[in-house]
Amino acid sequence: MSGDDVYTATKSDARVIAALSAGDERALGALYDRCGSVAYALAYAMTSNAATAEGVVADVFAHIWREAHKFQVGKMTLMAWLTSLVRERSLAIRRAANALHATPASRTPGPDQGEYTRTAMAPSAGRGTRYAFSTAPRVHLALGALSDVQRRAIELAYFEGLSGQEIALQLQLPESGVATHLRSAMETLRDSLAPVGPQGQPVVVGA
Amino acid sequence: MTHQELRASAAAYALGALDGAELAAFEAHLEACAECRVEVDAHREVAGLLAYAAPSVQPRAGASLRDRIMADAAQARPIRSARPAAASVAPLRAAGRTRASRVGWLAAAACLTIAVVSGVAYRNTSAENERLVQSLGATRRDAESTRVALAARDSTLSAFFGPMVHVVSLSEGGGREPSARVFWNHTKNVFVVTAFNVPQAPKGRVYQLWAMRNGKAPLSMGTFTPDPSGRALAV
Repeated sequence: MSGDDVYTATKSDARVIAALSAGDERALGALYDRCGSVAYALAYAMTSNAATAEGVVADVFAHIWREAHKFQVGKMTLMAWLTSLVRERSLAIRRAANALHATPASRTPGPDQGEYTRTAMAPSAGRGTRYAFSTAPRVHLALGALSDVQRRAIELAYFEGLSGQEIALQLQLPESGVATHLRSAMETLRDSLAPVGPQGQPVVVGA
Repeated sequence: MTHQELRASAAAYALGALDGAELAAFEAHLEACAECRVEVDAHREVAGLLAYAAPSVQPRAGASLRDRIMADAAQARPIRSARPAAASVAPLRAAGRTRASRVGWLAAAACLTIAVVSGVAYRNTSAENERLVQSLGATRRDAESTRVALAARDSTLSAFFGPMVHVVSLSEGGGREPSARVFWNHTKNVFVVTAFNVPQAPKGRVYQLWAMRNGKAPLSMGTFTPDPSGRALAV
């Protein structure tokens, strides 16, 4: 499967899920070839450690392998499921690591992580990586069109896993303001990215 | 709160940014409101795209991540296609480094042993055991009694994939060898051990799960019996 338009969800999701459910290991390999890069990039962005990120990706693929037969193809795209698993797992590991270190880890990111995620959201240089497909630049462009506060709120929610309260603290905004920024940001992103839903239909939301 | 007011939280919910009472209120509303479910699904698709904003970086070449994933999959074949295991008990070998030691942030203090013992009662002292010793690298836990249940509930496994759960694979080499995973819920200090491709114990024998603790006697975590497809679950 070509790297381009990886995000086009379609009946190919149903085929992949069927193959995985039947224990077809080639389908797992193909899924890794298609999605492994973005899965790892996300895990690394969230855990900042190569070994940990590799573990996250391995765990997620193992989970998908075990649970594919229960995945509802109509509910969400395979890609959305996979990335949500990576994100959830990464957040769980980070929280467990913070707890074990017994330092009173505040959940707001320190300057280093903040810097890192700001870099994460800047347009990538596209250094001829394995997954130089069209989706990443489109996402960067779409994020670039957001206001600074919208982008920062999305970044803190998605990459740092902060709650509305914590984002409000971090950005020194009222909580209601944060909710509004998140919503308007996501609606803007949806409009510019026009993601394709599980049935291959454009994702729209009722007015 | 009205539907419109709650709907305004859909994006935050899809991003996991709702907490506490707000989260509970929104989730309650979701059960009754199809429009909001559609909205959440839409936001989730957009959220999935945010993953592409992460800087492009490759796994370490030496890590052979793809090979590892494929090897793990070969051992843990989807349950529905698992064949009933042979009657003889296959020896369970100690595995190499576990994921926990790779992560490195858990202090090594305990490990788990799966043993075959004869009879359910622990009176039989001449039982022959096949022992599997693993380094878990888990922190010390106090003794608690545990229950044993047969593998049945997929929801149990899903629940243990949520936050505050660390998964450690007690993995085996070879395609049809038994393998096990430990799901450790850190906040509740609860372990779930799931095992795959476990051969049926010989007649009159059951499997017993032991926690090996440094400097202390092993603690029995109860017994378990694999179902016909070789699955077992211990809590």
